Amino acid sequence: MKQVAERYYFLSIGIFLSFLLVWEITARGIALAFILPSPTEVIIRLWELREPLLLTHLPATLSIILVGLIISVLLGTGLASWMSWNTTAEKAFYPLLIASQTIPVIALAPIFVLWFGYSIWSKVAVAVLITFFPITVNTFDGLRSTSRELKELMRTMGASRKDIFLKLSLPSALPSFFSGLKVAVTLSVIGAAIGEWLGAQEGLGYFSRRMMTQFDGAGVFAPIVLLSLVGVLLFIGVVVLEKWILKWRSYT
Amino acid sequence: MKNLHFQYGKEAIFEDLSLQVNQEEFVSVIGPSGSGKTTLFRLITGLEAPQQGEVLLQGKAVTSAGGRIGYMPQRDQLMPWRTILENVILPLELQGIRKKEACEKALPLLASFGLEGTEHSYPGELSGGMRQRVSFLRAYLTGAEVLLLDEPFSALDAITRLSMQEWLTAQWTKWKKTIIFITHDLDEALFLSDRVFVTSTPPMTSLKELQIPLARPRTMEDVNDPSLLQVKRELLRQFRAEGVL
Repeated sequence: MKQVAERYYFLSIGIFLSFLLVWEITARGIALAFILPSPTEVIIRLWELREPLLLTHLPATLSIILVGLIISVLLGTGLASWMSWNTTAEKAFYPLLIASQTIPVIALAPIFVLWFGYSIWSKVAVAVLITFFPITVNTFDGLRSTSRELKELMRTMGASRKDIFLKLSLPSALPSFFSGLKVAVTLSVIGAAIGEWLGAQEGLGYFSRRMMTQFDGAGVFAPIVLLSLVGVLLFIGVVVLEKWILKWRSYT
Repeated sequence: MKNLHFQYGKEAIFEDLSLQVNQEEFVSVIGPSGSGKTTLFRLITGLEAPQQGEVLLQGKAVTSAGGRIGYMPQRDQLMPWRTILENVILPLELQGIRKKEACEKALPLLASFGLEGTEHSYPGELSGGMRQRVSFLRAYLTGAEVLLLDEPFSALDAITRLSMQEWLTAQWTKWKKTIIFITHDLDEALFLSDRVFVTSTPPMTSLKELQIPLARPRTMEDVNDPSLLQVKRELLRQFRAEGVL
């Protein structure tokens, strides 16, 4: 099993390296760094810009991501619980929830800037709007998939609806919740970046855009590299948390 | 059970059915699938309510599901995210007993049920037979006098099933509970029970009742006792007459 996993990573790393190589060769061929900087130029620029990027802009973006995720988790699990508890709430909110996903968030973001100004909240709003959906829908599906047999067994033991919800529905929805959270953390990075692109005074998305206006191609890519690193690390973090909380799953 | 009447939609399953199970008795219900065995169970546990008549437990009517009967379902239905100890204390937790207290009560019982050393394992780590023991202990810990066992060994392999049958007999003798056991396995019903009820095609107004002439304690070898074989022949003849065989 472990060997398979190693080969798996080996393959994807190989493909990634060859992609970088092709990119490097092409970029050197074109030799227009403001249009297509080479990977080495991006890395060098990342090093040169390390101080403003890591000390000012990364913390700004990270706080948007984390605040957005926390709000999404609270709001999403709350709404999912309410909808599974109360059919009227399900009928009222589920269609709206689906409809909310047809709203082009990018088009809405400037309005958020109008509402919340250049504060963190206009960016958080964008992040919440796109991460809230996968968390809510997955958690709700998890809550709905509760085993009927176990529910009846608990009823024969005299369990109340609250008992069944807390001791059965909630734990059985956890795996779905984590699936939703995994999608949400990667989306949250995108959400934060979009938000900063459209109106901010700091942050990795903002910095990338500022470099664009200065025709600094490598400077555009440097914060993007950081952003995707943040996304990957957050994803790994969720996987580790999931493995730890759902350790029983390794036995089934 | 008195003058029980139950129907799903327009189709009556039981009509004016009465039967009685005595304290500390081991009774089996056997019959072809679709003959209302599970319905009978759902009525006894209170998961379904009869249209007429009532289910009486120690003189009191069972009106809704709720803690008066220990139910052991067909598949073990353990919660995979709970350890064995956490699974068996579920009924105690639901009765409002604190977790620590419940664990103290359950821990010494694990050994008696042949589950020593498994308290911190997850159900996924245990074999099918062991999981059924956990499920039985959980039913026992409801504290109910009557335990309902719904084809608990049907998913086990033949050898495990034999050992579980002997194990169950020993447990029943030890804890002095009333057991109602559903099965579609003739030998299993004959070996385990004091009396066997046979269900047939609905609607049923009564169930055929068989006394098992074996003394206790029994071992697996007693299944070949001539008196038991006589009962078995009689039962088979009846199944043929009804066209279920």
